[in-house]
Amino acid sequence: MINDIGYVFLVAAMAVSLYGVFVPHLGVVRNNWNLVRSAQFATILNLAFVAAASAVLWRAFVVSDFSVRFVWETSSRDLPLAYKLAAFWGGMDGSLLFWELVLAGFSAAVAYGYQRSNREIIPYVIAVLNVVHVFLLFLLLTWSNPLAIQSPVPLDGRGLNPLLQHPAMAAHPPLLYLGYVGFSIPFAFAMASLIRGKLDNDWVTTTRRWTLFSWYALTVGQMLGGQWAYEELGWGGYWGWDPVENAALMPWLTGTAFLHSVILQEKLNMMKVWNMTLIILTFGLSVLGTFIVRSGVLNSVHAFAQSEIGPAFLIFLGLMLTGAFLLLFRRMALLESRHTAETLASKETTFLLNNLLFVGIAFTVFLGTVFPLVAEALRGTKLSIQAPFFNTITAPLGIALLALLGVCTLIAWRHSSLPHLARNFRVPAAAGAVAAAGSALLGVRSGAALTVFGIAGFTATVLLLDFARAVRVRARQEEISLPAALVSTVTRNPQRYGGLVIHLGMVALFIGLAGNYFKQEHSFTLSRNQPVSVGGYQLVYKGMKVEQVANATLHGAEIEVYRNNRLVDTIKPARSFYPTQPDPLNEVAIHRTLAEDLYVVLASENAGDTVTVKVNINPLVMVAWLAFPLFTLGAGIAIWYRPRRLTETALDSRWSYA
Amino acid sequence: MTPPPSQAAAPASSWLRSWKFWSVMGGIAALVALFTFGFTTDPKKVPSPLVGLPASSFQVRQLNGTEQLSLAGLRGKPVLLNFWASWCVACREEAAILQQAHLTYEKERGVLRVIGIAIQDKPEPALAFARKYGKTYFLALDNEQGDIGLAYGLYGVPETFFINAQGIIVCKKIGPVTPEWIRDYAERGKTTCDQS
Amino acid sequence: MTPAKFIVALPALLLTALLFLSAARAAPPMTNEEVERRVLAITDDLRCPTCQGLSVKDSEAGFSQQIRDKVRLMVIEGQSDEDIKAYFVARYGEWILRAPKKEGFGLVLWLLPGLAIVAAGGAIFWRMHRRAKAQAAVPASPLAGLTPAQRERLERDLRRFQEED
Repeated sequence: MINDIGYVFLVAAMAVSLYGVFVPHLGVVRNNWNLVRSAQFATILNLAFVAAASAVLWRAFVVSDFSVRFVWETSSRDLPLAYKLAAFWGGMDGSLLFWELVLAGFSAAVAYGYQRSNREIIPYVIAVLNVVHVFLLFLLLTWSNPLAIQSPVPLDGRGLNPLLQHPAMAAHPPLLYLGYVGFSIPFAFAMASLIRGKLDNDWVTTTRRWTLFSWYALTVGQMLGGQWAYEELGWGGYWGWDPVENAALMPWLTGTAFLHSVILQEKLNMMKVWNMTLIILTFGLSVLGTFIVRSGVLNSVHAFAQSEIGPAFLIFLGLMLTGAFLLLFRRMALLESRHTAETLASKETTFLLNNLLFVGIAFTVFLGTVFPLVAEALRGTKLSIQAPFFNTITAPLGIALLALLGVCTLIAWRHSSLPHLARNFRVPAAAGAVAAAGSALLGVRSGAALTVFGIAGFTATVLLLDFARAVRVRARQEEISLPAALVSTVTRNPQRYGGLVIHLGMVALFIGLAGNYFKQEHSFTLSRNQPVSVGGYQLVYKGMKVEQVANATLHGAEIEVYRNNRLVDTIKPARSFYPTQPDPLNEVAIHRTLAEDLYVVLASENAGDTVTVKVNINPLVMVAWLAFPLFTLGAGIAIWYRPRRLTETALDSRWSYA
Repeated sequence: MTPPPSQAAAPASSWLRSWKFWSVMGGIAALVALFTFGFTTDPKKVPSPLVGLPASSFQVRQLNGTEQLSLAGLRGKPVLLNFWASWCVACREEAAILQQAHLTYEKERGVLRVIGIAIQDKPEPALAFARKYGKTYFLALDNEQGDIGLAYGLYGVPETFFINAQGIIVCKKIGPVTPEWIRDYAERGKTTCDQS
Repeated sequence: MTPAKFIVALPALLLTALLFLSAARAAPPMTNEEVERRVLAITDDLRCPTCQGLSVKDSEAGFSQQIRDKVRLMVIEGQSDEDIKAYFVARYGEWILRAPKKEGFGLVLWLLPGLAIVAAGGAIFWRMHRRAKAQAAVPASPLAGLTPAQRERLERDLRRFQEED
């Protein structure tokens, strides 16, 4: 009964969304602002209905109501409560409802928050967002109904895949969706601007914080996915170039390019057509990502079973891309900016190169992901394209980006004289050389890693010197202490210095990734109390321990870790046996230091009280995770920034055209 | 407050004729076409390059009996070579089909040899499976190195090969075999292979 | 040479020739480390047939272990990397390789990203160059008609523009 009420809520949501698609245009045509306001209200009402339907589904999970087929598929009675709630997005139908819920929330925020501002385009922003709502709700009401009932009612559920019973895995989908859906907002504003013919930069400045927030969510969502893969899957890596991982990476790459090129649009009125293209691509790649996950067209670890909604997503993607580009081409002649980068040695050029590299990497990832299909279509052969291809092509491009970051910070807008540039180059270049030489002295032999360390040293020095100089200048100008000057510098320009912190995080991430070039992989059979030496550690196996943890039986091998004859840690690599799965899961044991991770996987328990373990020494993994707090701090500072133009021109006329 | 009028758009004829517009539209069409094609293929089914080539010979001792068999020695009669395992769930449903093929084509008409090789398996569970699902034809185990499986490019079970009387692999079936498929090759003498 | 001596000499000659040939062919025996290093390198290029995205090197699945052991045997036998990979391609198809061979159709995949980036970069910078030349053709500089005070204010504003992003 209550589940049927949930379905009725979804029907109501569909009704108000349809209202929100057509009525705004009606309001514009009839010059009736009340109609537009009613559509804004309908959008907020949509959130209420979708939230109510979601609450019904969550209730079913909490009380283990297995008459709901989706709850039966993804939950079980013995599942811990937190995972029961997270199972909402543990399967296809629920994750689609979750997508709709997040989009409803963001749409309501836009409808409510921009009731007075952006008056010219808000009707069409509402309309575009509601078009997406109509599509998602259509799927939810037909093929992908998470509240579908089944009978007879089974006694217990199939259970959540134990691999997903991990905190990072519970948080990973919501964060990714916040990112994917978040990019819908700048997309909607861009489309509304094109529909309306309002071709200034307001859509960019208005949606800047949405873009930053979405970027942050996508970044952290992917890092959490990587952390989960590292800790749960046991092969020692964190990125597999799986089609669905690539599907999340591509909009992140174009979204990052977009974040940078809108700066050129705001400052110099450049790249207006290109920014429109970038946001269309970013939103399109988000939809493509969803399509790849749900269609079964490409083999993937994440892919839900092949379903009927694949074709629906493909049609939606095709129509959306066609419509968006039609709108863009209609206005393109009026959008094209007259300004261009004047000389090669300018910051504008580095921004162009930034975009070229990011979109180039996105193209590479896209090519590698769809090439198997292309090969099959054209030649009938099946091909595999995995890490070796992706790593070979994207690594040099990524390293080029790392170097570009340093050069861009050094170089001035419009024009930089070469002697001036060379002078500023000296100290960071020296720092880079020291970093590379120092790493070589510490034993690093991999040429690629040394290159990364050298460039990272250069770029980090450029960033820190730039910041230090700005703080010093402010301290001198305002005659205040250095700490006060630091705060003042950041608060006067949060976007720039938030960005700087994020860039420092990027440097840390690259340093951590470079550790892959010189990691060690070993395999040993350990007998009780017999020490084994590996990479500077001594491992002593002390015995097996079997215990029951929540809904799994854990077989753990206790291993003491010694370094320089001192006990530094006791780790317990284990295998978990779940009642619903035939094969055990690996619980990896990791002893982490800043310099390296000692990564131990229990491969097998053997006769005679011995165990076989796989031991990896993964250098600099902790340095890569350092990026996470830096990204958070930097994004927080940058999002807090309110575009000055918006507040200043509150009284000005808004009807300015390019 | 009334919304202001929209900016005039460029005359449609100009941009509709631009090569940029049509290349973008072409790109979108190609993308949709590519994925539509993707709906017609199964990424899990990989065509085998061994079809049309001589079957690799091997020597095995019968698990459920005493016969010693060499594949090369079976030349002159077609062979239905099935790979299975006691831990393979999909192999359960095809056991009956293979047994029926054995009874009809091997025992009754003597026109076929049915062989089942269990991979990554042990004698006791394999025999138990055979007994439970009624497989009485020639069964054997692959060795621990998986030499036979490697020679046949096995990447899962069940997989079945039809080898003709001259020792050439005519077709490979991925997944549980069907009576239709067996009839096509054993009775109707089909020589082409659809590996999708 | 008498027939008797010939009958003795010929096998001796043949034997010597064979020993000579085999000595010339036999490389010094590989150390354990070398064998393992080659096995790791080769198995990193082969995909685990039952996994998603993993190499034979990283996977513990049944087939992967068997392929690893087979690769090790072939390395010890003295087969080259290319021959070993070709052995598996002949049985599994090109699908068993983790990246297509850098020849024929696969070459398109390897070359396209680099070519696309270079082509796009070239197009962008050539267009920039053309526009800059068109702008340079404009004779009068707008800076010409400024008073010194205006010029100083312009410089100050430009400097402020540099600081703020």
